[in-house]
Parts: sequence; C-alpha cells; structure tokens
Amino acid sequence: MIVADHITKTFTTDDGSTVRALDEVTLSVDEGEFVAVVGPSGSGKSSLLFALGGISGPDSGKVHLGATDVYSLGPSRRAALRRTEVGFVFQTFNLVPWLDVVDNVAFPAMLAGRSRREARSLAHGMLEKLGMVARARHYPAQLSVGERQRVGIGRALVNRPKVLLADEPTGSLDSANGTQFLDLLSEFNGQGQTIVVVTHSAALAERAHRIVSIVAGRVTDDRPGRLRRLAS
Amino acid sequence: MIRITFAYLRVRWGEYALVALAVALIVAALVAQRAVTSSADGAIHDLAHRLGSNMLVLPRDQDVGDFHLQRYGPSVLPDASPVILKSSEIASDIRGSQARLYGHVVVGGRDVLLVGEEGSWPRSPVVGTAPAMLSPSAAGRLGFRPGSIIELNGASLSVAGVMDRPPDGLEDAILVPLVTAQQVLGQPGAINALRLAGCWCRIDVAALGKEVERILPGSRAITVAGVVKAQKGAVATMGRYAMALLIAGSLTVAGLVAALVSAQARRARRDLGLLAAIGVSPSVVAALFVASAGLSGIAGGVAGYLTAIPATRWLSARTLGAAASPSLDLFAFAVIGAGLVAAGAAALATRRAVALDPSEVLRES
Ligand SMILES: Nc1ncnc2c1ncn2[C@@H]1O[C@H](COP(=O)(O)OP(=O)(O)OP(=O)(O)O)[C@@H](O)[C@H]1O
Ligand SMILES: [Mg+2]
Repeated sequence: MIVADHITKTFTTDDGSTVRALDEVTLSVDEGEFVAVVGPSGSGKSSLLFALGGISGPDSGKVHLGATDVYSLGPSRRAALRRTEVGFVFQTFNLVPWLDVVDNVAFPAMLAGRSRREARSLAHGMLEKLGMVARARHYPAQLSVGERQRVGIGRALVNRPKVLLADEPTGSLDSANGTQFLDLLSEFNGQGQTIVVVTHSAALAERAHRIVSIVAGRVTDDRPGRLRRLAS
Repeated sequence: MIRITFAYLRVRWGEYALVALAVALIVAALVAQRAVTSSADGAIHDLAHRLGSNMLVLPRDQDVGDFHLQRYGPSVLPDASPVILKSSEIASDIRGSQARLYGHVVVGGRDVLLVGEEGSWPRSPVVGTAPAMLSPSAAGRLGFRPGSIIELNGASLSVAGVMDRPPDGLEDAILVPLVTAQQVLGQPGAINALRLAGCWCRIDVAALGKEVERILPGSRAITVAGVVKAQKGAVATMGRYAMALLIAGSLTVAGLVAALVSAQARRARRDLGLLAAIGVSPSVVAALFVASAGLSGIAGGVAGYLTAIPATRWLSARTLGAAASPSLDLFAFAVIGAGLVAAGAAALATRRAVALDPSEVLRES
C-alpha cells in the first residue's frame, strides 16, 4: 500500500548547517496494516509522515501510494491525492482558523465533492464519536488543546480515507479520550484502513501490528506489536 | 469555494480592511490630484482664450492707465502694423487684429470721443459723407439721429446708425472708419491702439507679446501673461497641496503596507500551506487569495474615489476658486486599477508561497 524507498531528507538552515531528518529510510506498509512509529524527539518521525502523505517530498528516494509514484505528480494532482486517499492528523493540529469546528471537519468532505449538508451531517457523526458535538459551532482558537486535537482527528477521518497518517494523535488527550480514539482506530482498521501512527505512547504502540523505531533519521528496529493481523 | 472565501474574509477582514484603507488613501490622493490638475489646466486654457482677444498693443510711450482713462498721448503706430504682423513669422499665431485711432473732438461745444476703426463699414446714408455709428449716450447727448450730418474739422459725417450695444470702451463715442478719423484728427497713417487675438495653442502669451514688440518698433504689448502667471502660481500652490497630499498618502500607505505585509506574509503562508496540505489544489488556494485581495482592492478603490470627491472640491476651491469634481472616467480607472494592482500583488505573493514546502509552516503551532 505505502512504500518508502530509500528516502532521504536534509534541511539546511539559514546559518548553513544541515540536518539530515531522514537517512535512506525504507519502509513498506501493507494494506490494512496498523503501524506505529516510535523514536526520540527530533529523530525524523514527522518528516517521514509528511513524506508518506505527499506533503513534503524527500530529496532522494521514492514514495509509492498504491501504484502511484507520489512525487512524480504535479502539485495539483498531488493535492488531489491528499484529498482523496489520505487523512492526516498533524502534530500541531493545523485547524483552519476561519472555519468553525463542524466546518473544519466537514471541509475535506466538501472538497471530495459532497454537498455542504451531507458534509456537515458526516462531520456531526464524527464529532459525536469524538465527544465534540457541544463545541460544533466554536472556532479553533476557542478550544482547549485536547479539543483541537480531536477536531484534527475528526477532519482526518471524515472521508474514511484508505490511509490514515497520524502524528502524535494522543499527545494532548487524557486517558479516557485517548482510549476512545484508540477504539476508533481499531474500528476503522477493522474495516481495512491502513494506519501509520507516530507516538510516544507505549500503550498505543502496543496496539499496532508493527512497531517501527527511528533514531536519527534511520530505521533501527521493526518488530511486531501486540495486534495480530487476521490472515487474509 | 465562495463560501470558504467569505468565511476566510470574515476572519481575516481586519487585515484586508487595512489593505483596502491603504488602497483608498492612495487612490483618493491620486484621483484628487488628477482631477484638480486637469480642471486647473482647463481653467487656464479658458482664461487664455477669453483674455486672448484683449491683447493690446500701444505706442510704447502711451501710459496704460492713461489709455484706459481715454487720455491719448502724441505717440502713434503706423496703420500698416496689422499688415506687418500678418506678413511676419508670427502670422500664424495671430487669429485676428483690430487697429484703432482714438482721439477727442468737440461737437457743438461738447467733448466727445472719436474712434476710427478698420473694417467693413455700412454705406453712408448721405452721398459725399463718411458713415458714423454713435453710441446711444453720445447720440442722446449730442442730439443726433440716423441721417444727421456732423461737420468735423472739414470732414462731413452722416449718422448711419445708433449702436444698441456699443463695444467695450465706446459707451460714449462716435465710431468712424479709420481713414476718416485720421483725417479729422490730423494724424494720417496713424493708429494708437491695436488689439490682437492670438492662438494660444502654439506659443505662450508672454512670448507672443515679446515677438510683437520686436516686429513693431516703438510698440508695447500688454499681454495676459501677467494674469496667466498669477494663475500659474495658483496652480503651483495647488500642485504643492496635491504633492503634499500625495506624499503624506504614500508614506501612510507605504508604512501600512509594510507593516501589513510583514505581519501577513507569515500568516498567508500558513493559511496557504494549511489549505494545500488538506488537499485544496494550489490553483484554488491561489484563487482564494487573489480574489480576497482583489475584492479589498476594489473596495479601497471605491472608498478612495468617494473620499476624493470632497477632497477635490476643497482643493480646487482653495486653489482655483471654483469647485471641481473628479470625472467618472477616473472612477473606473481607480476601481479597476486598484483591484488589479491588489490582485496582482496577491498573485505574485501566492505564487511564491504556493511553491514553498508547506511542511515548515505545518510544524508550527
Ligand atoms: N524546516 C526545517 N528546517 C530545519 N530543520 C528541520 C526542519 N524540519 C525539521 N527539521 C529537523 O529535522 C529533524 C527531524 O524533525 P522531525 O519533526 O521529523 O522530528 P520528530 O521525530 O517528529 O520529533 P518530535 O518527536 O519532537 O516531533 C529535527 O532535528 C528538526 O530540527
Ligand atoms: Mg514530530
């Protein structure tokens, strides 16, 4: 489903120093697989997720989503791919500040061609699952950090994308909300969704099929989690 | 997408309102300046044309004040002066001329102004006499009617008519052909005033006057240059007001825009990157920003034009003494221009922002 082939990403800062965020990373995630990515801060986890999601291309190496070579596409086609195939939960939420909660969640559905009404009713369903219905008409700036995170999750899931890429989705959630989110992930994964989650939470990681460790931009470990894949 | 645009503008309206305000200021200054300048130009042109036929050429020794008080000195100009001018190099700058000989005569014991004028004269009502036209007051004062005979220094005149509305300065005068006046006054071949109508499109008034004085030795051209110069001074004052307005406006706008751009650049990049990351295609994102900026530019243009109307009125009243208002052409120009400029600036900015890797802004919280 998702294949990263020897991808390298280097950042050059203004003072000329370079940071190699990803160093020849090769990773393959099967369809329906639930992968947790763990590693110390600054090890390149977010950079990997951006690369997999078609947001920020590697300097070298290739990323395939299904049969598509993601970074051979032009900006518009790549935007279409992000719109239709991928749901992304950002570490920093990145909600649209000028849209209220329900429109933030409904936005990807509208982009996918649904009417505003349809999109909003889907969004309401999502907000219900996340315990956020009461805040539907609020704007992102009025929400607590954990609430914003849940809106970000709702936005990523509303189109039920084939691939969910989530960057620290439980980092700001209390244990009850965290558990609720994990149940949601299990539900979607049970329906065949491919999931890659970056996390510092051992509890979350253990619920994945596979746990990939990254240190200093390299994959250092790739071991099974507690979740067993159904033979299919 | 329209809904998104409006949602976007609803939250970011403050910034776009500032953009619109900045645009409005500069548009107001520019429109007012243009309107006042063009109406000032129009005013000068009008004035030059109106005073044009009043350019007066006198013998150099003739005092202008005395001339207006109908006190004529002994110095004269040759009555060939109009012909001399018409065969000179400034002939094409002179639209018309009128040569006159002024003098005083005594009729029936009363002093009266006699004016000889070149031109086509009506046939005299009495054979062997020269035709004369009288102003109503001269006719009444001297007791003449059409057909009356006037004997003057050996010349016989007959009254051809009484003028309903006598020309300038002839409210109490007898108007006769130039040769008759020369004969009566004993000044053959002489004139003592020449009015010229110039064509101000080709040469400026002062220069034309100098040329006339050079071509007609012993003459003095009393031009409207002085008046025009005064008027030009007023226009210069107006120019300074407009300039001051323009500079103040530009500085305000430059300051505002600089502050806005630096404050907004980061945010715009973030908004762009954010929308792009969710999957809005770059062209749509660009359209959103360009449309928003274009709308605020148009709003600024309209507001600027509306501000320019009273500004123009005030400025023109202070400098030209007449209220002018900007033309509707300027309205279209201001609105379309401001919209295009704002949208163009936004297009440039978004082109750059869309090309940037959005991950950098997506890492910020
Ligand atoms: N735009 C950038 N310019 C310079 N350096 C960058 C940039 N983006 C990321 N980096 C660097 O790349 C490295 C990897 O960053 P990344 O965000 O992928 O780490 P991470 O594993 O997600 O960390 P965390 O767990 O703290 O989120 C870091 O050292 C970071 O400083
Ligand atoms: Mg990270």
